[in-house]
Amino acid sequence: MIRFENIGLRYGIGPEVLRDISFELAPGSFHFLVGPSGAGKSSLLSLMYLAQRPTRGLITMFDRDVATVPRRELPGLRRRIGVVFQDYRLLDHLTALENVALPLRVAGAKPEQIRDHVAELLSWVGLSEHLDARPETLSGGQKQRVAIARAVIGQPSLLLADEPTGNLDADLGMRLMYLFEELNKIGTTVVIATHNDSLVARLNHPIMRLEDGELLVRPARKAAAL
Amino acid sequence: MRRSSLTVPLRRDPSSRFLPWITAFMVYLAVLSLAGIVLIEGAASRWEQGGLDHLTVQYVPPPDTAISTDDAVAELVVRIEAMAGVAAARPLAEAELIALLEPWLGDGSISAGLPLPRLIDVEPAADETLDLGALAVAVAETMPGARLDDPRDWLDELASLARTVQAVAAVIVLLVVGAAVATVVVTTQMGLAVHREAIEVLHLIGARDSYVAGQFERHALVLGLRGAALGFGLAVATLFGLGGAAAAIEAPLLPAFAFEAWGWGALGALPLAMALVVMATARLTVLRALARMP
Repeated sequence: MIRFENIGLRYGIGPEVLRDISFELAPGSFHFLVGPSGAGKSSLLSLMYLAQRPTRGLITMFDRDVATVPRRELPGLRRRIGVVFQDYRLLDHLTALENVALPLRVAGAKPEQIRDHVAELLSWVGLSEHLDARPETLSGGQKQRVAIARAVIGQPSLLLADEPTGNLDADLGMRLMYLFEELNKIGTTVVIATHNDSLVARLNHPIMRLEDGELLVRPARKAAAL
Repeated sequence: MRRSSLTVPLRRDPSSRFLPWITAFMVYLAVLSLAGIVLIEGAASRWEQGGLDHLTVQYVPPPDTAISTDDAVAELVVRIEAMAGVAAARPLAEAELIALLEPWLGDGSISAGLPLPRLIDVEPAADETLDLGALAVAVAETMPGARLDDPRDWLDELASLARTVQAVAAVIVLLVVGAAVATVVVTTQMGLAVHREAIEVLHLIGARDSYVAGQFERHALVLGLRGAALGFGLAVATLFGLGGAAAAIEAPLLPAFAFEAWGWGALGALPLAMALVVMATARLTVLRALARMP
């Protein structure tokens, strides 16, 4: 699914924020990405959702060397990736329903197919009363749920989430984690960057720990016990 | 859900307010310039072919001639009318000659004894080409003292001037189109900067460059058409106003202030072409900017 080999990333002429990152995520795996603030979690995720290119190293996604994928084929790869951004990145002039529908819309889905599907998902995340609400009228938690719904609406092969439960109460946070696990069970590869230690402890998945730009991968507890 | 609604909120841009006005101004100037080209075209072609509605043959009796002036003029008229390309030849009466001179010499200042050259008004045939060189030779050979006022020299100069004016007008049209392109490039780049976050989101969720460019393209087309319609309407109103003023001027040599069907077609196509230029410029500007994204 994803393979990083000796990846390095620096911004401009600054120091490397990621150094010699190498790992492989199998299809259908579920990983937490943890580490202190500034360790490079968001940078690592941005490489995974193809927002930037590494300074060095080789990234293989969906069995394609990303560096050699023609530009016209990159949108197709990105549509296989769902992203929950830390700052939500909702479009303020669109309603909650329109924001969630964006991935389907840019992929050319028909409007009648979009509405029912999107409304159902928003209902599932508890926003059925806010389909036509603009982001500016929603609370932080509601915006986060819209962002999560937008990330999963296209049934991506890879789901990347940057602090997806940061503004949610514990119950709703767990409920959404169960949604991610359900998606994982049907084959979606999931990577969740989080500071929420209790969440990590509660769900038994492998952990990728990033510190000072370097990565350590620790298997799940049960797997480790085996 | 309205599929046609913009996912990039371009309607809120300042460009939405001023781009139609700028386009209207550009189209106004371009249509007037093109109208000048179209109006001059017919006359310039006619002048280049030596075409005139009337020619003049002048006869000054030589001192030692044996033939009377009237007989000489009559012989000239017969000879001229026999030429291919001549519809009619008519000698001017003395009263008409005096009337022609009075504006310069003053009313009643021309005495009956003043020797005046006789003039023959020659009307070329509309459907036949008149060889001015052959006519000049025939006139001179038929009667010593007779000559054709050959208009070719000054017609060539007039045609050259007309072509120069047309070239200047064409340059103005090109400059106007160039200015419109530059304006659209700048406003589109402003739009890209203002909506950078929204564009990044669309990019990251898998929107093709053509999808994002399409948003700007449709928006620019709507604004361009709105401005082009306004500019065209104002230009047509101006042309009708000028046409009304020109109708009051009696100057047969000047081009007629009227458009044929092809002329109106060219004028009508210009605002549409301008709107398409605006649309294509917006699209190319966006595609070029997006190509720099990873």
